[in-house]
Amino acid sequence: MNGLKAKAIAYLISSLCAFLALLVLFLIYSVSNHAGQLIVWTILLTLLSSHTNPLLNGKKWLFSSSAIFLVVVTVYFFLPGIIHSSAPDAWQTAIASANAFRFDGIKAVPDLLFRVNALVLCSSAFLITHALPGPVISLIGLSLALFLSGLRTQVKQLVFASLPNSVFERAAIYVTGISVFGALVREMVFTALLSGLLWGCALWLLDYPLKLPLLGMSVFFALIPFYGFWLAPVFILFNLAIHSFDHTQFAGFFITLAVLWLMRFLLFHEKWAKTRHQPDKFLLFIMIVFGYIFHQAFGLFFLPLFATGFYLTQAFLLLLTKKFSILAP
Amino acid sequence: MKILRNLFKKSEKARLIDQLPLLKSLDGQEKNVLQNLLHRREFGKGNILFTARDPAVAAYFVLKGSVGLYQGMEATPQNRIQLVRPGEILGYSAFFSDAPRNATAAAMENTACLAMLRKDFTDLCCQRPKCALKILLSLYDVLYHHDLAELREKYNQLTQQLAKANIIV
Repeated sequence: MNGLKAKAIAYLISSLCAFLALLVLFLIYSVSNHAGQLIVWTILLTLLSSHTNPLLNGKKWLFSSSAIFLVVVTVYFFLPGIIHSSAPDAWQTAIASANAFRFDGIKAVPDLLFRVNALVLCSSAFLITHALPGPVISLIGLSLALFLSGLRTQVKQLVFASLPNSVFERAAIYVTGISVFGALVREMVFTALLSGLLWGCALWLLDYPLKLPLLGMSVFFALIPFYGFWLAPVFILFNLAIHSFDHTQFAGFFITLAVLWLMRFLLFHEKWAKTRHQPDKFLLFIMIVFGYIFHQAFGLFFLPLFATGFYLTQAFLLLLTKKFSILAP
Repeated sequence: MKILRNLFKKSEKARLIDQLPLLKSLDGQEKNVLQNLLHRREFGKGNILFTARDPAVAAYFVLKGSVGLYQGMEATPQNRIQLVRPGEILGYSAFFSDAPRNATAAAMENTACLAMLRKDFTDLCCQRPKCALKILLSLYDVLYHHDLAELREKYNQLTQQLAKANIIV
């Protein structure tokens, strides 16, 4: 894939992500009556959606997708009791029905693993958005916003500026060590969570008897650098062979492995993961200022909309260039 | 408060970057990126910047004053091997290798520098390779045309002296 093609596809996917973020934000606005949480989540999601690009920064995109997914799950499962009074009736009915379906649906599913996963996921989402006190959520939101907004370098400079000359270089060694270690841990945790989630789905689809312990083992293996990702499927395959399952399960296993490999290649490929996507800071600034001036918190919803337009225009302009046409054979 | 004021006074740092011939080839946007990666440090007369055998973690662009490079771990006049003046760079080996320092650096007078950490430079290579390449090319230019020319001149002088003394033909 040449650079131009990658860029065009990246812009197209970005516009799709921005549009999805817009839908999520609208959903939050419709159901939340906690103004503080609404603002924190809105800013956070807006920053995430405007800073991420699946093809240019796989890890951050994965993180933002997970965050958006968690919010959707929260909204879907836990918020019907506090629907915003100004939300349209149709939304209130839809959310109430969804909630009824959720409790009946989860009770009806006999699979333990699915129920455990669903409950853990929903509980985490609930904890993040509601059980934690407001200041903690605000702190988490602000820290993430700070991390994403690019102010991090200035904070780092502030810390270094306050250090005396005698410890400046030593501090640099520690900071380097911490960031390298932090990056390694982040990558390991992301990989483990992703592969754990995918293996969980795969085992559930295969209806394998020892799903839960195997899922735990695969997450554990995935934490081992470099080789862990391959140890998990080998371990599961070994178990499949011992239990002498029929050939359809082996076929399912290999298909899952292929999909996993493809997803890993796409999401964690060096080229995508190491190139940092430069955020559209100007766009972000304009949207925040004008959004608050004209529509208060609701004005922020325009950001993903504008981002959608911006990315689509970029993609369209790229597709028009003589050098590359996505339609050309 | 002074630290905060200096930190957000970007224009001043941009002005300082403009003073450095090594970073002359960078465009405005690249200079903006770089000013977030450079740390302003001030050293009093005799202050040590780094000592031989320390890990090489930063390079220093000298803004004002001068820095002496000394062989070994003692900053004594007889050990001095080089004088680094404003606009020049010292400790650039940190950009290329994580080997320990082979000299000690001490401020000869009140000196101001912009320090760039090795980690920030390697990040810059990944994120903005064009900008990093420009810095490396400027560095090559300094090393090849300035330092090497100086060494050649010294070598010629020594050869002539030895020839005059009939030590070599």
